Amino acid sequence: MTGPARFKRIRVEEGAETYSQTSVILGRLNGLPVEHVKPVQSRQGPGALDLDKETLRLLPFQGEFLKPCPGTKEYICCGYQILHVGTNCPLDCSYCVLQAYFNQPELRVFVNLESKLDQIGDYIDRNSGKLFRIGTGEFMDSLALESVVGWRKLLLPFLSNRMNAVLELKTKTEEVDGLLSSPWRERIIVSWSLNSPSIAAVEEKGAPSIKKRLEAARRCQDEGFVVGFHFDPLIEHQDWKDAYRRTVDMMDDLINPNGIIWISLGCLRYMPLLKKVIRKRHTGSHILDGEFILGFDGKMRYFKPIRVGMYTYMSKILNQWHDDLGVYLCMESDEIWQRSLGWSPEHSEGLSRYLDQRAANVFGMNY
Amino acid sequence: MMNMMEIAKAPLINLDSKAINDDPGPFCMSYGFALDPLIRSIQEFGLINLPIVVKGGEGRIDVVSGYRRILALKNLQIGEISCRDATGLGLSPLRHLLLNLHENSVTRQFNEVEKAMILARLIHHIPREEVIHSYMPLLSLPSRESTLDLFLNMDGQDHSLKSALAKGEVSVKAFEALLAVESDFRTDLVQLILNLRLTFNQQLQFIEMANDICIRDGIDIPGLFKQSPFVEIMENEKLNLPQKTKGILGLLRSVRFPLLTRSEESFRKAVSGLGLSDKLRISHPPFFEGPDYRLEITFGNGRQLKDRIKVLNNLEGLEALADPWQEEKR
Ligand code: SF4
Repeated sequence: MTGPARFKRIRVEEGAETYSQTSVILGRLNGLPVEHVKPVQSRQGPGALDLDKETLRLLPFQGEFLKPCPGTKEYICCGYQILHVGTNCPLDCSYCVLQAYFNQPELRVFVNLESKLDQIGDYIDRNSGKLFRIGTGEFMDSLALESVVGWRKLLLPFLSNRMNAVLELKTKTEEVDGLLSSPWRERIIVSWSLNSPSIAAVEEKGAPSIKKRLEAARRCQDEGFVVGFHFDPLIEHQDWKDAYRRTVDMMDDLINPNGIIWISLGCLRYMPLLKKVIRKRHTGSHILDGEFILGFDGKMRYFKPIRVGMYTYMSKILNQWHDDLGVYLCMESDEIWQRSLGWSPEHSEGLSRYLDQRAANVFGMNY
Repeated sequence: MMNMMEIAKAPLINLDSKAINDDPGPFCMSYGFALDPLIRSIQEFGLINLPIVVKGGEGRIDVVSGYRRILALKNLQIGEISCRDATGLGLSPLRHLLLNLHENSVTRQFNEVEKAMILARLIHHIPREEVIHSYMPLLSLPSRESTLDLFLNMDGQDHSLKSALAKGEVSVKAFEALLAVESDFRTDLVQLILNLRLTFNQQLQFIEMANDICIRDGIDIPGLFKQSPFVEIMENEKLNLPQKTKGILGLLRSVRFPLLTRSEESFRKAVSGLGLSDKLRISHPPFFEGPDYRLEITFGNGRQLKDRIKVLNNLEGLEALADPWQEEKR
């Protein structure tokens, strides 16, 4: 089983052999051709738009494993901490930001994570007054490679010893068997990226349908996990209101709203250079049809009234379902918060406090 | 190192001009040049440097150097052309190519299409890495994979597009944007760019907006510009070319960004309805993205400032100035 990944080869970078995770992964993918290769700074070769999702590259990561989400000062950021366990993803969403990094192709797994966990743990422990909301889903889908890599075996026990940290595993997959078989539940959040059923079918290639994602979420809820959801990116498309309502209706059918820690909303935004990649890699895509303007962060985003309209509608139908879902906006201004949700955390610290508080309430932490 | 003395020793042969191909072949890199000056020079002074050729398989003759001279001689209907035959010198195809490259690079600048031809030929003989780092700087191109791929793509394009690129009428950035357009319709856009004499900046906007609209609305480029508002502008005899260009770009923008352009227009109307003097200006933030509108008062002294504030204070309808769109109710 490799989940949604369809590997044809494994490349083991010089230096990766010494880590036990390398042998564990090679054991799981026994039978695939293995090449031992030198580290490369960037890809040189034809077809620069080919992300080579069929190659798994195992390598040690030399940078910082735990880093705050870069955010921008112009928009309100949630203050998330990124645990950088690898990059790229076997799914192929047309809007995926990782396509801009085609000079770093292949699915890359950092096999030295285990050796860095003590250091990361020390850092978290030293800052006991701060609540760390940690996620692995920034540069890849958190669960898409779980059956190959088995991060849960490292990360869940690691988290169980830390009273001031929560781990959010963000996914579009239904790869939850491993999680469900683990004994850990405390301070673990499993969250799903959601969209309208039609966007999921057309623009999120390789990802399960919304219904299947929600069924996986339901299984997690049934087994005692706290869940979250991210409507990100919200995309303006034909009959988008009805389409997003269908998703919320499915949530109503399958999910217990009381077990939801938060739901984020974020309209599609993209770096300008991604446009030509999307046009080339996803020729039938309509995600760029809307009226995009250049935002303060240098990214393209929908013209303000369109964003306000989408957030207002989404928060309205979510609130009609349940009035305490922890709905928040991802990377938006104070003005947009006020206009769409009727309140605003005002700044990034305010939003961090709001989310910390929700985590503390759900997990009975003292913050 | 190329041994030029050996080239000079290559035997002389006379070739039937018809036996030499009209296309540049694997070693030459000339495109979009004017032949007339060379024809005139040959008419006046004769052929000063002899072309160099090699014989390929099946009686093919490839020009190593002097491609333009051969075309000029053919144009003058010279039946027999004297050349140096480098076939017996044992030089590799790469050597032939480099000979041509160096000979040309010391005497002239290459246009964009010629750069593309050079890269497309080099890539057959030299690893990409080396082409990127050793040869692209020689052509004043950045050593980047993406730039190499862009230029390799240029070599295979339609003649009208290449010709516009070679003449500098269409920018390389516009060419890159054109690659997102369905290949059948690129020449239509190029023709419109040339007809409207768009600046490089306008070319980019024009291509992007036209392509975005076509993808969004499921139409093709000719279908878009056959729509009556576009035709009306293009065929309006009262408009001069800059007015037509402005009209077409404005229309494209309003089709591509209907809500934004409507908002800009209603805001402009609302402000002009206030009848402000030119000493008072009210503007919206770029794309309305920021939360605040802006007021500019021009004044010569405190007295004037007070007076202008007074005018503003008493202005009818100022308080009605608001976002020019309707928002969804919470
Ligand atoms: S799931 Fe996320 S990381 Fe994977 S392709 Fe889609 S957007 Fe990119």
